[in-house]
Amino acid sequence: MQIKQLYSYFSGYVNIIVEGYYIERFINKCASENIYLWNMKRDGECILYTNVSTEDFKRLKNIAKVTKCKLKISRKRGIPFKANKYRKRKLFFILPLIILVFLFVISKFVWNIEVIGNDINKDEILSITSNNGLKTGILKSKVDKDKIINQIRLNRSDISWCGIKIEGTNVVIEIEKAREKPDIVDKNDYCDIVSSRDAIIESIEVTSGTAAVEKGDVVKKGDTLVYGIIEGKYTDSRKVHSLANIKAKVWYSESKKEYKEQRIEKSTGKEENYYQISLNNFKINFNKRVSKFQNYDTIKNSNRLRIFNNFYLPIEITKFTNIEKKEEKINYSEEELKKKIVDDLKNKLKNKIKDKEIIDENVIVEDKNSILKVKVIYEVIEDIGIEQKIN
Amino acid sequence: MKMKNNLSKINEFLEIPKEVSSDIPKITMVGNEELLIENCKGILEYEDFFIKAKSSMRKYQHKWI
Repeated sequence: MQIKQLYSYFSGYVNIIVEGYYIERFINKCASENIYLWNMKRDGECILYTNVSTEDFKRLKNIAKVTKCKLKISRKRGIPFKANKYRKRKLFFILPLIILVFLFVISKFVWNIEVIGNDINKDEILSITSNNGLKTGILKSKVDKDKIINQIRLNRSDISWCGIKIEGTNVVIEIEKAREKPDIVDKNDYCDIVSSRDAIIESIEVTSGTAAVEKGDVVKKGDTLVYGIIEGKYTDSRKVHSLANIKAKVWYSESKKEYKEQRIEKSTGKEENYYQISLNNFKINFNKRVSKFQNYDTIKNSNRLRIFNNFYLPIEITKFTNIEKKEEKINYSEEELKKKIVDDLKNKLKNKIKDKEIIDENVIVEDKNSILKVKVIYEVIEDIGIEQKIN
Repeated sequence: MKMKNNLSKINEFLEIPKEVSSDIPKITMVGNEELLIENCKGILEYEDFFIKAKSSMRKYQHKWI
């Protein structure tokens, strides 16, 4: 029966008032003629409020005549009557239509270009694409994917793969950067071994080739450690692929200067937001007041409007957040500052050294009135040999 | 009468619901929200809190509280 009520909501129904002395007869007649009445309510002796669908209402007139009741419509309800009410307000219907058409038209354009790929300058890629006709605001059907991919590949030599996907109004350019090919010397080629950095040789074991340095020698970056030449007793010197295990002492150092009296900027927790709407290049600011803070950072956060996942609209909402800052003076004691800097430097060095063997560590502190200068040196044993091809 | 008895016996045997096989009224009430009268022969009185219906057995009266 709920279904019937719902159906009559769509096809229209009326609230009626039945007035008469034979209301029970009226109800019984309706039941026998299969007329559905709902929300019946009796008011006093001779009044009945009820709902009936518009189709059944025509049949009701006959019954009312027979049972000597008066029928009165108190209210017309349902969609047909509501639509009738808005008949004169044409804009009401036109506007959704316009919006639909507008959305349809807008969905034919590109409104956002995304570049995916690590270690890639996105602006460069975007400038290449815009020179070749892929800009925001261009028709999607005019985007020539193959041409753009070819142009990107031609312009950039460091790209190994490039793909363009059009998802909704969003164009995704995926780029895979090519790795530079490593300089590995083939095992059959002749080579020397060269030092990769300044060091003191700790030990050198040559398996093939002729050692150029001894234990305790100081070498500079680029010095030859092992020559790829073997001089035989009975033969002339011949070239070989030299192999050697070279261990050397290397120093890693890191230094830092810091004032004992420092100014640190702290946020006070007060914030201020204002918004900007931009339609392509047309911008609307909602707040033109100057910020009431004296010192502040501004964080810009822009969002492109979109429907669903990929349907970007050419509207951008930008939120500016001003965060108030306060300068604070901090006076470090010498010990505190030293500890702070040394910890910092050690962390930096450990990242560089990773898991090589550390022999010694040195901390040099220089105190110049208000400035503290700290230098941390690590002595590390490391393999410094690099193969270099003999021409 | 005999015929009717036989028929009711068959109906009983086939487990046909009584309100279907005969004209005995069946009244279902859900709280004080809904009242369903099956095999009702017409409404005699209808008011906000009171209903009187005709059936094959006797008059049915119901008062909402």
